[in-house]
Amino acid sequence: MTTPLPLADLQRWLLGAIAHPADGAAMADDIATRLLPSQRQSAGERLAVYQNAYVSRLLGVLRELFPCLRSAVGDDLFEQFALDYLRVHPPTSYTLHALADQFAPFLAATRPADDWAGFLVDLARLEHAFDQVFDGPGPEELEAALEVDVPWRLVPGFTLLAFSHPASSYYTAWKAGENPPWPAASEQFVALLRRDYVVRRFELSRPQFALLADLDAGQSLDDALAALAARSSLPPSALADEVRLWFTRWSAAGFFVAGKPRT
Amino acid sequence: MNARPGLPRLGLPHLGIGVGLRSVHFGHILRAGPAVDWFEIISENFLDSQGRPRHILRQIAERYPVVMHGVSLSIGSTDSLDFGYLAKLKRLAAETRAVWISDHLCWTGVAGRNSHDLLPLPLHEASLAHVAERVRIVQDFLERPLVLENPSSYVTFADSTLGEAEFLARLTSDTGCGLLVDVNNVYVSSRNHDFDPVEYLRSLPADRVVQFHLAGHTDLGTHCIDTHDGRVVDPVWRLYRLAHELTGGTSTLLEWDARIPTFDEVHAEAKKARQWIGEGEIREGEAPAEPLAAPIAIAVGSPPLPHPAHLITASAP
Repeated sequence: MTTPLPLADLQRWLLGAIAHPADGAAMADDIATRLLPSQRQSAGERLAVYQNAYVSRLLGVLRELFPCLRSAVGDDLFEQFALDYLRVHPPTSYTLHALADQFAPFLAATRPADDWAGFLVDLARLEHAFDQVFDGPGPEELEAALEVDVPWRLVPGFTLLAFSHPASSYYTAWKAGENPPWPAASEQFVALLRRDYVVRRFELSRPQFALLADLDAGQSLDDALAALAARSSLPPSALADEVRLWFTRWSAAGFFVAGKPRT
Repeated sequence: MNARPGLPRLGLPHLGIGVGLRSVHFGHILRAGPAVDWFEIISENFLDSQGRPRHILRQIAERYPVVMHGVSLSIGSTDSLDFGYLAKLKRLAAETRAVWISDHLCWTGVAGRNSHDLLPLPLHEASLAHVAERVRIVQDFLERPLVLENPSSYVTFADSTLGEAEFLARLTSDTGCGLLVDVNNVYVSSRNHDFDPVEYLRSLPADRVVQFHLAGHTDLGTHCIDTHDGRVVDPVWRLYRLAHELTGGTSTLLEWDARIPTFDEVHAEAKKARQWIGEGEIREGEAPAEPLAAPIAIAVGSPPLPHPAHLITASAP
Protein backbone atom coordinates (compact mmCIF):
# COMPACT_ATOMS: atom_id res chain seq x y z
CA MET A 1 0.00 0.00 0.00
CA THR A 2 1.38 3.43 -0.91
CA THR A 3 1.49 6.22 1.65
CA PRO A 4 -1.42 8.60 1.11
CA LEU A 5 -0.68 12.14 0.06
CA PRO A 6 -0.72 14.37 3.17
CA LEU A 7 -4.24 15.67 3.61
CA ALA A 8 -3.22 19.33 3.49
CA ASP A 9 -1.41 18.78 0.18
CA LEU A 10 -4.35 16.91 -1.28
CA GLN A 11 -6.78 19.63 -0.21
CA ARG A 12 -4.64 22.40 -1.68
CA TRP A 13 -4.36 20.46 -4.92
CA LEU A 14 -8.08 19.70 -5.14
CA LEU A 15 -9.18 23.26 -4.35
CA GLY A 16 -6.78 24.53 -6.98
CA ALA A 17 -8.12 22.04 -9.49
CA ILE A 18 -11.69 23.14 -8.72
CA ALA A 19 -11.16 26.88 -8.61
CA HIS A 20 -8.61 27.14 -11.43
CA PRO A 21 -9.60 24.54 -14.03
CA ALA A 22 -7.78 26.52 -16.70
CA ASP A 23 -4.62 24.98 -15.29
CA GLY A 24 -6.18 21.57 -15.77
CA ALA A 25 -4.07 20.46 -18.72
CA ALA A 26 -1.02 20.41 -16.51
CA MET A 27 -2.92 18.46 -13.89
CA ALA A 28 -4.38 15.71 -16.06
CA ASP A 29 -1.88 13.20 -14.71
CA ASP A 30 -2.59 14.26 -11.13
CA ILE A 31 -6.32 13.89 -11.67
CA ALA A 32 -5.92 10.37 -13.02
CA THR A 33 -3.56 9.46 -10.17
CA ARG A 34 -5.45 10.93 -7.26
CA LEU A 35 -9.11 10.53 -8.25
CA LEU A 36 -10.94 7.38 -9.27
CA PRO A 37 -13.31 6.96 -12.20
CA SER A 38 -16.80 5.54 -11.73
CA GLN A 39 -18.40 2.97 -14.00
CA ARG A 40 -19.84 5.75 -16.17
CA GLN A 41 -17.52 8.74 -15.72
CA SER A 42 -13.82 9.42 -15.89
CA ALA A 43 -12.07 11.04 -12.95
CA GLY A 44 -11.90 14.29 -14.90
CA GLU A 45 -15.63 14.25 -15.64
CA ARG A 46 -16.33 13.69 -11.96
CA LEU A 47 -14.06 16.56 -10.96
CA ALA A 48 -15.91 18.79 -13.44
CA VAL A 49 -19.03 18.61 -11.26
CA TYR A 50 -17.18 20.56 -8.57
CA GLN A 51 -15.52 22.88 -11.09
CA ASN A 52 -18.87 23.83 -12.62
CA ALA A 53 -20.50 24.20 -9.23
CA TYR A 54 -17.77 26.51 -7.93
CA VAL A 55 -18.17 29.03 -10.72
CA SER A 56 -21.96 28.72 -10.97
CA ARG A 57 -22.52 29.13 -7.26
CA LEU A 58 -20.36 32.22 -6.88
CA LEU A 59 -21.66 33.84 -10.05
CA GLY A 60 -25.18 33.13 -8.84
CA VAL A 61 -24.51 34.92 -5.57
CA LEU A 62 -23.07 37.99 -7.29
CA ARG A 63 -26.01 38.07 -9.73
CA GLU A 64 -28.39 37.95 -6.79
CA LEU A 65 -26.60 40.74 -4.94
CA PHE A 66 -26.32 43.09 -7.94
CA PRO A 67 -29.53 42.67 -9.98
CA CYS A 68 -29.66 46.28 -11.16
CA LEU A 69 -25.99 46.40 -12.18
CA ARG A 70 -26.45 43.12 -14.03
CA SER A 71 -29.47 44.50 -15.82
CA ALA A 72 -27.58 47.69 -16.70
CA VAL A 73 -24.57 45.98 -18.29
CA GLY A 74 -26.17 42.77 -19.51
CA ASP A 75 -25.44 39.18 -18.54
CA ASP A 76 -22.22 38.79 -20.55
CA LEU A 77 -20.43 41.89 -19.30
CA PHE A 78 -21.60 41.27 -15.74
CA GLU A 79 -20.23 37.75 -15.89
CA GLN A 80 -16.91 39.10 -17.17
CA PHE A 81 -16.75 41.58 -14.29
CA ALA A 82 -17.66 38.85 -11.82
CA LEU A 83 -15.16 36.29 -13.09
CA ASP A 84 -12.37 38.88 -13.14
CA TYR A 85 -13.32 39.83 -9.59
CA LEU A 86 -13.39 36.25 -8.34
CA ARG A 87 -9.95 35.59 -9.80
CA VAL A 88 -8.50 38.48 -7.78
CA HIS A 89 -10.76 38.10 -4.74
CA PRO A 90 -11.63 34.41 -4.29
CA PRO A 91 -13.91 33.72 -1.33
CA THR A 92 -12.16 33.56 2.01
CA SER A 93 -15.05 33.86 4.47
CA TYR A 94 -17.36 31.16 5.77
CA THR A 95 -20.31 33.29 4.71
CA LEU A 96 -21.39 34.04 1.16
CA HIS A 97 -22.54 37.44 2.38
CA ALA A 98 -18.90 38.51 2.44
CA LEU A 99 -18.31 37.47 -1.16
CA ALA A 100 -19.09 40.89 -2.62
CA ASP A 101 -17.35 43.03 -0.03
CA GLN A 102 -14.59 44.07 -2.44
CA PHE A 103 -16.64 44.08 -5.64
CA ALA A 104 -17.29 47.83 -5.91
CA PRO A 105 -13.71 48.74 -4.90
CA PHE A 106 -12.46 46.20 -7.45
CA LEU A 107 -14.56 47.78 -10.19
CA ALA A 108 -13.31 51.22 -9.12
CA ALA A 109 -9.68 50.07 -9.21
CA THR A 110 -9.96 48.39 -12.60
CA ARG A 111 -12.35 50.80 -14.35
CA PRO A 112 -11.45 52.49 -17.59
CA ALA A 113 -11.30 56.27 -17.63
CA ASP A 114 -14.62 56.54 -19.49
CA ASP A 115 -17.38 58.43 -17.74
CA TRP A 116 -19.82 55.49 -17.81
CA ALA A 117 -17.49 53.39 -15.70
CA GLY A 118 -18.05 55.73 -12.75
CA PHE A 119 -21.77 55.11 -13.05
CA LEU A 120 -21.30 51.34 -12.83
CA VAL A 121 -19.11 51.70 -9.75
CA ASP A 122 -21.79 53.88 -8.14
CA LEU A 123 -24.46 51.31 -8.90
CA ALA A 124 -22.36 48.52 -7.39
CA ARG A 125 -21.78 50.60 -4.25
CA LEU A 126 -25.50 51.30 -3.92
CA GLU A 127 -26.53 47.65 -4.24
CA HIS A 128 -23.84 46.45 -1.86
CA ALA A 129 -24.97 49.06 0.66
CA PHE A 130 -28.54 47.75 0.46
CA ASP A 131 -27.31 44.32 1.49
CA GLN A 132 -25.19 45.70 4.33
CA VAL A 133 -27.99 47.82 5.77
CA PHE A 134 -30.54 45.02 5.35
CA ASP A 135 -28.75 42.56 7.60
CA GLY A 136 -26.36 44.76 9.56
CA PRO A 137 -26.99 46.70 12.76
CA GLY A 138 -30.29 48.54 12.91
CA PRO A 139 -32.48 50.54 15.26
CA GLU A 140 -35.18 47.93 15.87
CA GLU A 141 -33.65 46.40 18.98
CA LEU A 142 -32.95 49.71 20.71
CA GLU A 143 -34.94 50.22 23.84
CA ALA A 144 -37.56 52.93 23.59
CA ALA A 145 -36.36 54.47 26.82
CA LEU A 146 -32.72 54.48 25.72
CA GLU A 147 -30.72 57.35 27.09
CA VAL A 148 -28.63 58.90 24.35
CA ASP A 149 -25.35 60.69 24.94
CA VAL A 150 -25.72 62.85 21.87
CA PRO A 151 -28.99 64.48 20.83
CA TRP A 152 -29.81 63.76 17.18
CA ARG A 153 -27.70 60.65 17.12
CA LEU A 154 -28.13 58.81 13.84
CA VAL A 155 -29.60 55.33 14.08
CA PRO A 156 -27.33 52.27 13.88
CA GLY A 157 -26.75 51.25 10.29
CA PHE A 158 -27.36 54.75 8.92
CA THR A 159 -25.33 54.95 5.72
CA LEU A 160 -24.43 57.94 3.56
CA LEU A 161 -23.36 57.57 -0.04
CA ALA A 162 -22.02 60.19 -2.45
CA PHE A 163 -22.15 59.31 -6.13
CA SER A 164 -20.61 60.86 -9.21
CA HIS A 165 -23.67 59.72 -11.19
CA PRO A 166 -27.38 59.58 -10.32
CA ALA A 167 -27.26 55.89 -9.47
CA SER A 168 -30.20 56.17 -7.09
CA SER A 169 -32.46 57.72 -9.73
CA TYR A 170 -31.39 55.04 -12.17
CA TYR A 171 -32.16 52.36 -9.59
CA THR A 172 -35.62 53.84 -8.97
CA ALA A 173 -36.41 53.73 -12.69
CA TRP A 174 -35.11 50.16 -13.01
CA LYS A 175 -37.13 49.09 -9.99
CA ALA A 176 -40.22 50.53 -11.67
CA GLY A 177 -39.64 48.25 -14.61
CA GLU A 178 -38.13 50.84 -16.91
CA ASN A 179 -35.03 50.35 -19.01
CA PRO A 180 -33.35 53.71 -18.47
CA PRO A 181 -30.29 54.86 -20.45
CA TRP A 182 -27.02 55.12 -18.57
CA PRO A 183 -26.96 58.61 -17.04
CA ALA A 184 -24.31 61.26 -17.58
CA ALA A 185 -22.19 62.37 -14.67
CA SER A 186 -24.11 64.39 -12.10
CA GLU A 187 -23.49 64.15 -8.39
CA GLN A 188 -26.09 62.51 -6.20
CA PHE A 189 -26.28 61.98 -2.43
CA VAL A 190 -28.20 59.23 -0.69
CA ALA A 191 -28.97 58.09 2.85
CA LEU A 192 -29.89 54.49 3.63
CA LEU A 193 -31.36 53.33 6.88
CA ARG A 194 -33.47 50.51 8.16
CA ARG A 195 -36.82 50.83 9.82
CA ASP A 196 -38.99 47.90 10.87
CA TYR A 197 -36.38 45.66 9.19
CA VAL A 198 -36.95 47.26 5.79
CA VAL A 199 -34.23 49.29 4.04
CA ARG A 200 -35.28 52.87 3.24
CA ARG A 201 -33.57 55.14 0.73
CA PHE A 202 -33.55 58.96 0.75
CA GLU A 203 -31.99 61.24 -1.84
CA LEU A 204 -30.31 64.28 -0.31
CA SER A 205 -29.02 67.66 -1.42
CA ARG A 206 -25.31 68.41 -1.04
CA PRO A 207 -25.85 70.65 2.08
CA GLN A 208 -28.06 67.96 3.66
CA PHE A 209 -25.45 65.30 2.96
CA ALA A 210 -22.66 67.44 4.43
CA LEU A 211 -24.66 68.16 7.59
CA LEU A 212 -25.54 64.51 8.11
CA ALA A 213 -21.95 63.47 7.38
CA ASP A 214 -20.76 65.82 10.13
CA LEU A 215 -23.26 64.34 12.59
CA ASP A 216 -22.31 60.83 11.47
CA ALA A 217 -18.66 61.68 12.15
CA GLY A 218 -19.57 62.54 15.74
CA GLN A 219 -19.78 66.31 15.60
CA SER A 220 -22.21 67.99 17.96
CA LEU A 221 -25.33 69.46 16.43
CA ASP A 222 -24.12 72.99 17.22
CA ASP A 223 -20.80 72.42 15.47
CA ALA A 224 -22.44 70.74 12.49
CA LEU A 225 -24.91 73.59 12.12
CA ALA A 226 -22.12 76.15 12.38
CA ALA A 227 -20.25 74.37 9.62
CA LEU A 228 -23.40 74.29 7.53
CA ALA A 229 -23.93 78.00 8.01
CA ALA A 230 -20.33 78.71 7.03
CA ARG A 231 -20.84 76.77 3.78
CA SER A 232 -24.25 78.27 2.98
CA SER A 233 -25.03 81.39 1.00
CA LEU A 234 -28.54 81.60 2.49
CA PRO A 235 -29.39 84.30 5.04
CA PRO A 236 -29.33 82.85 8.58
CA SER A 237 -33.09 83.04 9.08
CA ALA A 238 -33.81 81.31 5.77
CA LEU A 239 -31.25 78.63 6.55
CA ALA A 240 -32.75 78.11 10.01
CA ASP A 241 -36.21 77.63 8.47
CA GLU A 242 -34.79 75.18 5.99
CA VAL A 243 -32.91 73.18 8.61
CA ARG A 244 -35.97 73.03 10.85
CA LEU A 245 -37.92 71.50 7.96
CA TRP A 246 -35.14 68.96 7.26
CA PHE A 247 -35.04 67.78 10.85
CA THR A 248 -38.81 67.48 11.01
CA ARG A 249 -38.77 65.24 7.94
CA TRP A 250 -35.72 63.26 9.02
CA SER A 251 -37.13 62.66 12.49
CA ALA A 252 -40.38 61.39 11.01
CA ALA A 253 -38.39 59.14 8.69
CA GLY A 254 -36.45 57.57 11.56
CA PHE A 255 -33.00 59.07 10.94
CA PHE A 256 -32.36 59.59 14.66
CA VAL A 257 -32.30 57.44 17.74
CA ALA A 258 -35.60 57.99 19.51
CA GLY A 259 -34.16 58.19 23.00
CA LYS A 260 -34.25 60.75 25.71
CA PRO A 261 -31.22 62.89 26.48
CA ARG A 262 -29.02 61.56 29.27
CA THR A 263 -29.60 63.58 32.43
CA MET B 1 -27.65 -0.59 11.08
CA ASN B 2 -29.18 -3.22 13.34
CA ALA B 3 -32.93 -3.09 13.78
CA ARG B 4 -33.59 -2.03 17.36
CA PRO B 5 -36.54 -0.03 18.60
CA GLY B 6 -36.18 2.80 21.07
CA LEU B 7 -32.55 3.60 20.35
CA PRO B 8 -30.93 6.27 22.49
CA ARG B 9 -29.94 8.79 19.74
CA LEU B 10 -27.51 10.40 22.23
CA GLY B 11 -30.51 11.17 24.40
CA LEU B 12 -31.84 13.60 21.81
CA PRO B 13 -35.58 13.70 21.21
CA HIS B 14 -37.52 12.37 18.23
CA LEU B 15 -38.91 15.64 16.90
CA GLY B 16 -41.18 14.17 14.22
CA ILE B 17 -41.41 15.42 10.62
CA GLY B 18 -39.78 18.79 9.98
CA VAL B 19 -39.13 21.20 7.14
CA GLY B 20 -36.04 23.19 6.24
CA LEU B 21 -36.69 26.88 6.98
CA ARG B 22 -36.27 28.97 3.83
CA SER B 23 -36.68 32.74 3.49
CA VAL B 24 -39.38 32.49 0.79
CA HIS B 25 -41.65 30.93 3.43
CA PHE B 26 -40.97 33.39 6.27
CA GLY B 27 -44.16 35.38 5.72
CA HIS B 28 -46.39 32.33 5.42
CA ILE B 29 -45.00 30.71 8.54
CA LEU B 30 -45.47 33.82 10.65
CA ARG B 31 -48.95 34.48 9.28
CA ALA B 32 -50.37 30.98 9.12
CA GLY B 33 -48.45 29.20 11.88
CA PRO B 34 -48.50 25.86 10.03
CA ALA B 35 -48.61 22.68 12.10
CA VAL B 36 -45.00 21.65 11.50
CA ASP B 37 -43.27 19.49 14.08
CA TRP B 38 -39.96 21.36 13.84
CA PHE B 39 -37.72 23.51 11.63
CA GLU B 40 -34.11 23.12 10.63
CA ILE B 41 -32.23 26.33 9.81
CA ILE B 42 -29.10 26.83 7.74
CA SER B 43 -26.90 28.25 10.49
CA GLU B 44 -24.89 30.54 8.20
CA ASN B 45 -28.04 32.38 7.10
CA PHE B 46 -28.46 33.70 10.63
CA LEU B 47 -25.08 33.67 12.40
CA ASP B 48 -24.17 37.24 11.45
CA SER B 49 -27.64 38.58 10.85
CA GLN B 50 -28.63 41.68 12.78
CA GLY B 51 -31.68 42.29 10.64
CA ARG B 52 -34.88 40.69 9.46
CA PRO B 53 -33.64 37.09 9.13
CA ARG B 54 -32.60 36.91 12.79
CA HIS B 55 -35.71 38.80 13.89
CA ILE B 56 -37.90 36.26 12.12
CA LEU B 57 -35.88 33.33 13.41
CA ARG B 58 -36.43 34.51 16.98
CA GLN B 59 -40.18 34.48 16.43
CA ILE B 60 -40.11 31.04 14.83
CA ALA B 61 -37.92 29.65 17.60
CA GLU B 62 -40.52 30.81 20.13
CA ARG B 63 -43.16 28.68 18.41
CA TYR B 64 -41.30 25.65 17.07
CA PRO B 65 -38.36 23.42 17.98
CA VAL B 66 -35.33 24.49 15.94
CA VAL B 67 -32.28 22.51 14.87
CA MET B 68 -29.18 24.21 13.45
CA HIS B 69 -27.65 22.73 10.32
CA GLY B 70 -24.40 24.26 9.07
CA VAL B 71 -22.47 24.21 5.82
CA SER B 72 -19.26 25.97 6.88
CA LEU B 73 -17.78 24.12 9.85
CA SER B 74 -15.28 22.47 7.52
CA ILE B 75 -14.58 19.70 10.00
CA GLY B 76 -12.27 17.91 7.58
CA SER B 77 -10.11 20.88 6.59
CA THR B 78 -6.45 21.06 7.48
CA ASP B 79 -6.85 24.77 8.21
CA SER B 80 -7.26 25.69 11.87
CA LEU B 81 -10.75 25.53 13.29
CA ASP B 82 -12.44 28.94 13.25
CA PHE B 83 -13.28 29.59 16.90
CA GLY B 84 -14.95 32.87 16.03
CA TYR B 85 -17.37 30.92 13.87
CA LEU B 86 -17.85 28.34 16.61
CA ALA B 87 -18.58 31.06 19.16
CA LYS B 88 -21.27 32.45 16.89
CA LEU B 89 -22.74 28.98 16.48
CA LYS B 90 -22.87 28.57 20.22
CA ARG B 91 -24.53 31.95 20.73
CA LEU B 92 -27.15 31.27 18.07
CA ALA B 93 -27.84 27.84 19.54
CA ALA B 94 -28.45 29.41 22.95
CA GLU B 95 -30.67 32.09 21.45
CA THR B 96 -32.83 29.64 19.49
CA ARG B 97 -32.64 26.83 22.05
CA ALA B 98 -31.40 24.65 19.20
CA VAL B 99 -32.10 21.01 19.96
CA TRP B 100 -28.86 19.99 18.24
CA ILE B 101 -26.21 21.34 15.89
CA SER B 102 -25.23 19.51 12.74
CA ASP B 103 -22.88 19.94 9.79
CA HIS B 104 -21.31 17.68 7.18
CA LEU B 105 -18.45 15.23 6.95
CA CYS B 106 -16.53 17.40 4.51
CA TRP B 107 -14.18 20.30 4.13
CA THR B 108 -15.09 23.60 2.49
CA GLY B 109 -11.72 25.25 2.02
CA VAL B 110 -8.03 25.29 2.74
CA ALA B 111 -5.17 27.78 2.94
CA GLY B 112 -7.63 30.53 3.79
CA ARG B 113 -9.72 29.99 0.67
CA ASN B 114 -13.35 28.87 0.76
CA SER B 115 -15.02 26.89 -2.01
CA HIS B 116 -18.52 27.26 -0.52
CA ASP B 117 -18.97 23.61 -1.43
CA LEU B 118 -19.05 20.44 0.65
CA LEU B 119 -15.87 18.81 -0.57
CA PRO B 120 -15.21 15.12 0.10
CA LEU B 121 -12.32 13.72 2.09
CA PRO B 122 -10.10 10.81 1.24
CA LEU B 123 -11.20 8.16 3.73
CA HIS B 124 -8.29 6.47 5.50
CA GLU B 125 -6.78 6.10 8.97
CA ALA B 126 -4.98 9.44 8.87
CA SER B 127 -8.05 11.41 7.78
CA LEU B 128 -10.17 9.60 10.38
CA ALA B 129 -7.75 10.56 13.15
CA HIS B 130 -7.66 14.15 11.84
CA VAL B 131 -11.44 14.53 11.75
CA ALA B 132 -11.95 12.75 15.08
CA GLU B 133 -9.56 15.13 16.82
CA ARG B 134 -11.39 18.14 15.42
CA VAL B 135 -14.80 16.72 16.32
CA ARG B 136 -13.63 16.32 19.92
CA ILE B 137 -12.44 19.94 20.00
CA VAL B 138 -15.70 21.23 18.53
CA GLN B 139 -17.79 19.19 20.94
CA ASP B 140 -15.77 20.45 23.90
CA PHE B 141 -16.26 24.01 22.70
CA LEU B 142 -19.97 23.68 21.95
CA GLU B 143 -20.52 21.61 25.10
CA ARG B 144 -22.77 19.23 23.22
CA PRO B 145 -22.36 16.37 20.76
CA LEU B 146 -21.86 17.34 17.15
CA VAL B 147 -24.11 15.68 14.60
CA LEU B 148 -22.49 14.99 11.23
CA GLU B 149 -24.15 14.31 7.90
CA ASN B 150 -22.97 12.08 5.09
CA PRO B 151 -22.55 14.46 2.11
CA SER B 152 -23.40 13.81 -1.50
CA SER B 153 -20.14 13.47 -3.36
CA TYR B 154 -19.01 13.33 -6.94
CA VAL B 155 -15.40 12.09 -6.71
CA THR B 156 -13.60 9.37 -4.78
CA PHE B 157 -9.90 9.20 -3.99
CA ALA B 158 -7.28 6.66 -4.93
CA ASP B 159 -5.89 7.01 -1.40
CA SER B 160 -9.12 5.95 0.33
CA THR B 161 -8.99 2.69 2.23
CA LEU B 162 -12.27 2.96 4.16
CA GLY B 163 -15.84 3.08 2.98
CA GLU B 164 -17.85 6.12 4.03
CA ALA B 165 -20.22 4.13 6.26
CA GLU B 166 -17.28 2.48 8.01
CA PHE B 167 -15.57 5.85 8.40
CA LEU B 168 -18.70 7.36 9.97
CA ALA B 169 -19.23 4.36 12.23
CA ARG B 170 -15.69 4.59 13.58
CA LEU B 171 -15.95 8.36 13.91
CA THR B 172 -19.04 8.07 16.09
CA SER B 173 -17.36 5.37 18.16
CA ASP B 174 -14.17 7.42 18.60
CA THR B 175 -15.82 10.74 19.41
CA GLY B 176 -19.37 10.13 20.59
CA CYS B 177 -20.74 12.33 17.82
CA GLY B 178 -24.15 11.72 16.28
CA LEU B 179 -25.18 11.02 12.70
CA LEU B 180 -27.52 12.85 10.40
CA VAL B 181 -28.23 10.28 7.71
CA ASP B 182 -29.19 12.04 4.51
CA VAL B 183 -30.98 9.25 2.72
CA ASN B 184 -30.98 11.14 -0.57
CA ASN B 185 -27.22 11.61 -0.27
CA VAL B 186 -26.78 7.88 0.32
CA TYR B 187 -28.69 7.25 -2.89
CA VAL B 188 -26.88 9.98 -4.89
CA SER B 189 -23.44 8.86 -3.75
CA SER B 190 -24.29 5.19 -4.32
CA ARG B 191 -25.16 6.01 -7.92
CA ASN B 192 -22.05 8.15 -8.35
CA HIS B 193 -19.66 5.70 -6.70
CA ASP B 194 -21.24 2.35 -7.59
CA PHE B 195 -21.88 1.06 -4.06
CA ASP B 196 -24.89 -0.68 -2.54
CA PRO B 197 -26.96 1.86 -0.54
CA VAL B 198 -28.70 -0.88 1.45
CA GLU B 199 -25.39 -2.27 2.62
CA TYR B 200 -24.31 1.29 3.44
CA LEU B 201 -27.34 1.85 5.67
CA ARG B 202 -26.89 -1.52 7.37
CA SER B 203 -23.26 -0.60 8.17
CA LEU B 204 -24.12 2.55 10.13
CA PRO B 205 -24.46 2.46 13.94
CA ALA B 206 -28.23 2.80 14.32
CA ASP B 207 -28.07 4.04 17.89
CA ARG B 208 -26.10 7.11 16.77
CA VAL B 209 -28.59 8.25 14.15
CA VAL B 210 -30.16 11.44 15.42
CA GLN B 211 -31.85 12.63 12.26
CA PHE B 212 -32.73 11.79 8.66
CA HIS B 213 -32.68 14.15 5.70
CA LEU B 214 -34.80 13.73 2.60
CA ALA B 215 -34.55 15.76 -0.61
CA GLY B 216 -34.87 15.63 -4.35
CA HIS B 217 -31.97 15.28 -6.75
CA THR B 218 -31.25 15.47 -10.46
CA ASP B 219 -30.46 12.27 -12.31
CA LEU B 220 -28.21 12.93 -15.30
CA GLY B 221 -27.85 9.30 -16.25
CA THR B 222 -24.09 9.11 -15.80
CA HIS B 223 -24.36 10.56 -12.31
CA CYS B 224 -26.76 12.23 -9.91
CA ILE B 225 -26.53 15.74 -8.46
CA ASP B 226 -27.93 16.67 -5.07
CA THR B 227 -29.94 19.66 -6.24
CA HIS B 228 -32.71 19.79 -3.60
CA ASP B 229 -35.01 21.10 -6.29
CA GLY B 230 -37.84 18.59 -6.42
CA ARG B 231 -39.73 15.76 -4.86
CA VAL B 232 -38.18 12.76 -3.19
CA VAL B 233 -38.01 9.84 -5.62
CA ASP B 234 -39.32 6.38 -4.78
CA PRO B 235 -35.91 4.67 -4.48
CA VAL B 236 -35.01 7.22 -1.81
CA TRP B 237 -38.31 6.72 -0.03
CA ARG B 238 -37.65 2.96 0.01
CA LEU B 239 -34.21 3.55 1.52
CA TYR B 240 -35.82 5.85 4.06
CA ARG B 241 -38.26 3.10 5.03
CA LEU B 242 -35.33 0.73 5.54
CA ALA B 243 -33.43 3.31 7.58
CA HIS B 244 -36.52 3.85 9.70
CA GLU B 245 -36.80 0.14 10.34
CA LEU B 246 -33.13 -0.14 11.24
CA THR B 247 -33.15 2.77 13.67
CA GLY B 248 -36.63 2.41 15.09
CA GLY B 249 -37.38 5.83 13.61
CA THR B 250 -36.06 9.28 14.36
CA SER B 251 -36.47 12.96 13.47
CA THR B 252 -36.94 13.42 9.74
CA LEU B 253 -36.59 16.57 7.69
CA LEU B 254 -37.22 17.52 4.07
CA GLU B 255 -34.84 19.98 2.36
CA TRP B 256 -36.01 21.95 -0.68
CA ASP B 257 -33.55 24.63 -1.79
CA ALA B 258 -34.11 25.44 -5.45
CA ARG B 259 -37.29 26.03 -7.40
CA ILE B 260 -38.98 26.09 -4.02
CA PRO B 261 -42.77 25.67 -4.17
CA THR B 262 -45.32 26.90 -1.66
CA PHE B 263 -44.81 26.00 1.95
CA ASP B 264 -47.84 23.73 1.92
CA GLU B 265 -46.41 21.76 -0.99
CA VAL B 266 -43.05 21.35 0.74
CA HIS B 267 -44.77 20.33 3.96
CA ALA B 268 -47.00 17.85 2.13
CA GLU B 269 -43.93 16.24 0.58
CA ALA B 270 -42.31 15.95 4.01
CA LYS B 271 -45.40 14.36 5.50
CA LYS B 272 -45.32 11.58 2.92
CA ALA B 273 -42.66 10.13 5.20
CA ARG B 274 -45.45 8.98 7.51
CA GLN B 275 -46.97 6.88 4.77
CA TRP B 276 -43.66 5.30 3.84
CA ILE B 277 -42.98 4.21 7.39
CA GLY B 278 -46.42 2.72 7.85
CA GLU B 279 -48.02 5.49 9.80
CA GLY B 280 -50.00 5.67 6.63
CA GLU B 281 -52.99 7.66 7.58
CA ILE B 282 -53.40 10.42 5.04
CA ARG B 283 -54.77 13.47 6.73
CA GLU B 284 -57.11 15.81 4.98
CA GLY B 285 -55.18 18.18 2.75
CA GLU B 286 -52.11 15.99 2.54
CA ALA B 287 -50.98 14.95 -0.87
CA PRO B 288 -50.98 11.20 -1.37
CA ALA B 289 -47.73 9.42 -2.04
CA GLU B 290 -46.97 9.75 -5.71
CA PRO B 291 -45.00 7.54 -8.00
CA LEU B 292 -41.53 8.49 -9.11
CA ALA B 293 -41.35 12.19 -9.89
CA ALA B 294 -41.04 13.14 -13.53
CA PRO B 295 -37.42 13.58 -14.64
CA ILE B 296 -36.30 17.18 -14.62
CA ALA B 297 -35.26 18.55 -17.99
CA ILE B 298 -31.77 19.98 -17.90
CA ALA B 299 -30.99 22.80 -20.33
CA VAL B 300 -27.79 22.24 -22.27
CA GLY B 301 -25.07 24.55 -21.00
CA SER B 302 -26.61 25.10 -17.58
CA PRO B 303 -25.46 22.23 -15.39
CA PRO B 304 -27.54 21.73 -12.25
CA LEU B 305 -26.08 23.27 -9.14
CA PRO B 306 -25.47 21.01 -6.17
CA HIS B 307 -26.58 22.05 -2.72
CA PRO B 308 -25.53 24.22 -0.85
CA ALA B 309 -26.25 27.67 -2.25
CA HIS B 310 -27.78 29.75 0.47
CA LEU B 311 -28.11 33.47 0.70
CA ILE B 312 -30.82 35.68 2.11
CA THR B 313 -30.74 38.96 0.25
CA ALA B 314 -32.37 42.31 0.83
CA SER B 315 -35.56 43.21 -0.91
CA ALA B 316 -34.08 46.57 -1.79
CA PRO B 317 -36.06 49.83 -1.64
